[in-house]
Amino acid sequence: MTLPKDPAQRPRGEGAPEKRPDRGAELMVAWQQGDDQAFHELVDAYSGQVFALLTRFLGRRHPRREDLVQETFLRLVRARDRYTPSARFSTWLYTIVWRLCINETERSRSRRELSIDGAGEDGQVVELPDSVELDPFDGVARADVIKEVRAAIAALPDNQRIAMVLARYHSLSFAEIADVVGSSDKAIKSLIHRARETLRARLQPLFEREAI
Amino acid sequence: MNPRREQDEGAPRDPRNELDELLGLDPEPRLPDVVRQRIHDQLAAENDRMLDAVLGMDEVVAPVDLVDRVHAAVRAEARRRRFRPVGWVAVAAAASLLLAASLGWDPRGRSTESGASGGEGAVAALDVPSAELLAVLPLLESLEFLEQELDPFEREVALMVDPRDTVLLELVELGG
Repeated sequence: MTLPKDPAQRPRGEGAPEKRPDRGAELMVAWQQGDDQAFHELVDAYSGQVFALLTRFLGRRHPRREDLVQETFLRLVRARDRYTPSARFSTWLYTIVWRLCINETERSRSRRELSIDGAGEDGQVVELPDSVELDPFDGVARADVIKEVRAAIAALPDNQRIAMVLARYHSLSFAEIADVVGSSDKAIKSLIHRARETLRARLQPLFEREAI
Repeated sequence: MNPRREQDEGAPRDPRNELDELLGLDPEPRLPDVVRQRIHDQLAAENDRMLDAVLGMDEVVAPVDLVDRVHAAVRAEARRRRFRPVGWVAVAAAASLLLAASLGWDPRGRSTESGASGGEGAVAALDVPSAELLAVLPLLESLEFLEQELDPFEREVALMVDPRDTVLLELVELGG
């Protein structure tokens, strides 16, 4: 299995964010200059990533994930003229997504406060893992692992979860994540470290059980 | 003095004990700090690798029609934004222009009873609305009134009226 490396382990230099080609920024600039096809390409290239981020942050049972993808791009349209290529496009886009996530989380919490069913013994919201389709070749064990992974990610505090997801699944550097959530590199590094420690502790039994 | 110890000292030494004593002279081997650190690092890396592998098993697949839905939402928003600043007055004006054109009425005063002038006249008429047309606009804004308050026959009669006949239209609006 080829494993994407944790940004924390990734060497800087040629992999530094500002040196990487930014196709998103190119498309965004082209769109600002009137190329509507560039906007189509942006949607094609990034809607899946936005959906993935929303799914991992809000959970797979969240009913408004697709609506929020649309809302993200509507906000992109409204903010079209404000974009400057000084920031990576993905960072800018994920900032929009993160704000939507915050709004959505607050809205969900206020809704759940009205419902006793949503709270666990400690008063924390219980995020139920999504149903997992079983792969007939891998069987139940793989499904159990995936369920456990999702539950472990869902149980992370919001700030740790977004930082971990952006680092692990969207390959953002600490600096880029800091831009997205409005924090410092140091704080992000600490958040990710704590998130990984928590995940490692919770998922440790899987390491021993599964032949990975 | 311990009688047992006295007895032990007097007894012949067991060669196995001597061997143990000799072996005990060899100091406990200590793992060099560098090597110990290397092992810790390798374990941590392996742990990271396994965590990443487990996290990597969770994949998100976007719905197949997601891109189309985003484009549709953006198009709908664009339509709404175009429509919003126009306002009801302009909408009514546009509706009245279309209505007038469909009735063959030339706002510049030429009658197109036969319709022979075709679309060109209608297009030209849209460019320069006449004073008469502007005068009847407030009345034509009452399309909703025509739709809701008149029965189908009355509505048909009202729509057949030459829009220049403002007096009659006013009567219609007043319900007379």
